[in-house]
Amino acid sequence: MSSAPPSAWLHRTPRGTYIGDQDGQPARLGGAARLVDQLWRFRDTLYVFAASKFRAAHRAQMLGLLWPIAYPTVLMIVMSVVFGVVFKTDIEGYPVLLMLGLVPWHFLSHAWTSGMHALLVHAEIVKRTAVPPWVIITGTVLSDLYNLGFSSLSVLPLIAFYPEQFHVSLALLWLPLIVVALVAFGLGLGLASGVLNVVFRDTGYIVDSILIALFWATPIIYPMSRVPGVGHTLMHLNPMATIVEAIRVIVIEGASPPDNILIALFGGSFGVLLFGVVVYRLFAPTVSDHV
Amino acid sequence: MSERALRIRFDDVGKAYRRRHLKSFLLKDILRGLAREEDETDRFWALRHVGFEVREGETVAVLGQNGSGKSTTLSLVAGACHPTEGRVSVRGRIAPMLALGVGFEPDMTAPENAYVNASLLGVSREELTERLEVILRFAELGDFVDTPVRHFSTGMTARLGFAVAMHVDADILLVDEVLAVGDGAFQTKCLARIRELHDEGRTMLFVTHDLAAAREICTRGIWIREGEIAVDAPIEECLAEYQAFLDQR
Repeated sequence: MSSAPPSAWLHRTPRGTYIGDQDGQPARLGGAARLVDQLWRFRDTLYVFAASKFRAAHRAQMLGLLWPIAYPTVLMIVMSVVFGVVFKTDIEGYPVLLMLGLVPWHFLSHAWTSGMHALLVHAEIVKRTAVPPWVIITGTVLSDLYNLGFSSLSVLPLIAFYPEQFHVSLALLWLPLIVVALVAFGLGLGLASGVLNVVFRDTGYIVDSILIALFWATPIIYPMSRVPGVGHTLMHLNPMATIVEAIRVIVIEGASPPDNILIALFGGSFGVLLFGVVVYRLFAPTVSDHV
Repeated sequence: MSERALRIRFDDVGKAYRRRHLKSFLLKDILRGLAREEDETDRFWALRHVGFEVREGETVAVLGQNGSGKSTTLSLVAGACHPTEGRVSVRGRIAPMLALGVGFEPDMTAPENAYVNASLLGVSREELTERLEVILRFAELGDFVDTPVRHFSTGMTARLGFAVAMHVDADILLVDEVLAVGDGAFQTKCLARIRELHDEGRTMLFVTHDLAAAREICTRGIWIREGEIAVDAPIEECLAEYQAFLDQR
């Protein structure tokens, strides 16, 4: 698995790796085919690595899996008090709105930062095995998916307090697709910042700053409809904004998200993933020399 | 008898690392450094103009002093890094034992870590499930099988790592100075296992400073000196020349 099928030669050159015959004539394998080949070859490693990261993360904690549920709940209560009691917001069912923004946001910020640090945390894997860096970054981001699953449960208690804010409908079938887009968005950011962080160690601070700006530029503590004029249009460029908006439409209104939101959401998320892959491919061959 | 098939080929391979000369962290100096073209003084060639071939079933000792480029050679075969010049070609499944217990999580148990470590070495879950019992027995963990690795002694952790690495079903084994783990009895057992793998016809590359072990296991020696191959010969010949060099100094 760490090498080509038994009969084929794996050649490594300064420009990259390719499969070919003994004389070094490359096999005809296009970009897309190579991507599929890589994904297939490392599927098992990816799964085992992601699962172990998740397990190891919660093993030593007393509350373990309760944390992904407790954390957004605590944030929701604090913010509900600040904005509901102190600022006296007039938005109905504000905690529900808040929670539906906090849960995906928490996934994104955690997946992005842990994906960014993954290669440095697991430097030994990069330096001492043939496992390509993308497996480590992707495995780290995917291990956060387990956390997202559990933290989504933190929305459920709110049904008891705000039953009028929840609408069960066929539109809920959109949610898995929205999660796919959310993961694509986080993975794209993780891949790009992950390799950049190895080469330029300032990346961490830059990303932290971007995350703060992105938090306020995403409709988490406010509804997207409150953003006026050009700002509202520009917000469609932020995949996180459209993701949160789509989730709220699905859960609170029980309707499918409007087309413009869906187009911006999937276009933006997968655009960022593509960007991440391009940046990754630029830097990946030198990563093991820098960690 | 026809010659055995090729497994590894180095084609005029060079590997350079960047040597950072950054003395000042003032922004203007950093920017100036970025603008400057990278030249030869910034580079350190760990290996240069290295060419050799290894055939199926050969066990090759890679000898040389510290910093001569032995580990870089193995990393290149393992695919852990790319060459700066030339071409590194390999055929078959590789078990890279460049370090023991890569990916071990301290809060997980021996079997759990065996799965992670093995999968990083290219072993699938089904394959490991088949071999898990043998691996755990080989590692001699006693009652500690279900204890988090955090509570293992250094020797136990190393034994577990070694046991996994020794049971990867690979065509090419790369062993980098990891034999020095465990007590005498465990080392004897490891050497026996390595000889067993050799008899099965696996190809092996050994980095070691233990010349006696090299003589015992290997059929051929490659002595790397300052990034270039000094001698590539049958093991006795290579050891004699290397020993003479060491005695001279």
